[in-house]
Amino acid sequence: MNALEIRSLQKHRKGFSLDGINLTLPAGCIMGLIGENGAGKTTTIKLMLDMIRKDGGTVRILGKDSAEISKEDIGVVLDEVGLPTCLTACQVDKIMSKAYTQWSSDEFFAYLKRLNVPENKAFSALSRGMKMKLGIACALSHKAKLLILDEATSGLDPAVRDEVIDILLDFTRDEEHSVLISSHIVSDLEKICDYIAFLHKGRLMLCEEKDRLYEQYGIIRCDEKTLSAIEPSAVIGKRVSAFGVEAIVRRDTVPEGVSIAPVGIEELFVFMVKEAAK
Amino acid sequence: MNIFIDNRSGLPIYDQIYSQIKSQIISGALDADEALPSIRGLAKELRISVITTKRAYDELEKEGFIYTIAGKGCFVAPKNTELLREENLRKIEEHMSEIIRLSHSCGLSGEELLDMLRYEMEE
Amino acid sequence: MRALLLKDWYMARKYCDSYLFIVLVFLVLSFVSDNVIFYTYPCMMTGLLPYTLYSYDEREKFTSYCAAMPVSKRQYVSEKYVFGLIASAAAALLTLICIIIKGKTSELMPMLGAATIAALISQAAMLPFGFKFGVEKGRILFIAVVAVLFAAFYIVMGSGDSAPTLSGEALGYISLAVSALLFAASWLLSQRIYENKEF
Repeated sequence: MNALEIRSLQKHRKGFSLDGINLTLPAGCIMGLIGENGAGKTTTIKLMLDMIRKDGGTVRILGKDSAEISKEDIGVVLDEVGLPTCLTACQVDKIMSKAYTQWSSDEFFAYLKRLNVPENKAFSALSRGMKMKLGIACALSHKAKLLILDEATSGLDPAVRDEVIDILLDFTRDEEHSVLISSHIVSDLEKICDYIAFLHKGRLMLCEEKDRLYEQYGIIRCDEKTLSAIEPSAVIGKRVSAFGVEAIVRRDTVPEGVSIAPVGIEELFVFMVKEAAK
Repeated sequence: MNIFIDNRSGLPIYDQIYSQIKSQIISGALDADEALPSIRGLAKELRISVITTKRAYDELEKEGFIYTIAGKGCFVAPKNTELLREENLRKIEEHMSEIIRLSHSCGLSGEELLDMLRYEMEE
Repeated sequence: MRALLLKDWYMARKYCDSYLFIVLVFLVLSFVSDNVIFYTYPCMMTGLLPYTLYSYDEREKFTSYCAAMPVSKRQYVSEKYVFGLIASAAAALLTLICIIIKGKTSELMPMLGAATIAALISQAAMLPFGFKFGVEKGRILFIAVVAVLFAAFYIVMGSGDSAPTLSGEALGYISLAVSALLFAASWLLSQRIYENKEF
């Protein structure tokens, strides 16, 4: 069963429109949704959760239509987290235990302990990293099957981001658990994602297994003449300098003898976006 | 079992896992019928995608180095002498290609090369 | 909804403790002095609570968080009204006890009645504005509407003879009934408004 199936999702606003997004996240996998600020990541996520109305398309979560799915099965961490700032972790626990039928206080406090979040400090007194960790602890403590994180690691220092990644990896040890994480910090996603999707100005440029991306694309550094020997459609993007050309190309189109270096997801994204802007 | 992934080597990660497990099976570091870590467990420990580890395991199974029992996991296949032989033949071919390449670069003729080989075999 | 009630209780304790303090001060004052106006304050203040709590929710983006929780939009709205009712009832009860202790029941019950009505009506009136237009705009629009209504009322009262008089008590009961109806109507209206809200 797919954790998430999005077909032809559309949303139109003044100055921005999300145009026919198609996305599938198989169960047990982690998908990274990469896009610059304003690309539509948060809009896509909010459409999925029925927080804003869609103008077209369908969303199926865990096999059910998004309007019918119980939010008990979904754990969400939004960019601003959104927990009332006067509450302490203990109070949050009491509240959530009344909101979710499968809330587990033991798990919640275990996560807090693991993440070093103080139990009796008010939310407002916590740093951004702590707030995020509390939000994640909440999302993970009610037996959710799908975890959705919107820019959850932005603004966190590398050590905390690493902790979060560890937790996400643990979460998906169970093959019924899936994660959709959106970010513009590609390096975090690159480590743990099974699938990568590129969103740019409301359009989905790419949605592919991460491994296949590494296999399909590579960077070559050569002169203009060598590059022109490659069919233009196989060149994802190029950067010309006074001393040569750097281009991301499809590996299978590179002529014999030209050395190809592995390409990072971040570079791939940047080149694709630059090319799209031309 | 030790597996080391090098992110920057340019070699596909599934290939690195596949090769390392394979050589451990062949060398005997992994015994026949020994249980391998689960696909998910391995992915999480190495902090890589499950799709990658699955692929490595699929390759290993295809080549007969491991077998899967549904619900239980993956295990090392009993040493198949045929497989070993093939592996060794493959290694010999690789070395031969290297020898030929070297001989070309120093201008050794085919006859001279065969002489050298006979000499080595007599020793 | 229990979760939301608990959350609002925690928030009220934290943010509105000044309200509580004022209520207690006024209760004490009402004991000490003979000025009856103090008896109306506890109820009146509770009338402002739901709107204040909603303004915190909006500011802290809890409304968005809620949309991702297994809480329906209707439940969110209803909880604010229920909280208001509970708070007003508690304040009324407290005031009633004070009145009984003071012993001036017949004199002060109408004041309590008026205060309760005011509490109900202020919640009923303000909440839909807040839900529809957001807390800040809602407050401004609400004040504008109240000002217009007062002006209209003043003009009407000032112009002709007074309306056919009803006995004080009957007027009191009718007002209570009307305000309860308005409260219910506002509840339904707010639910409808909130259903269409986007986060």
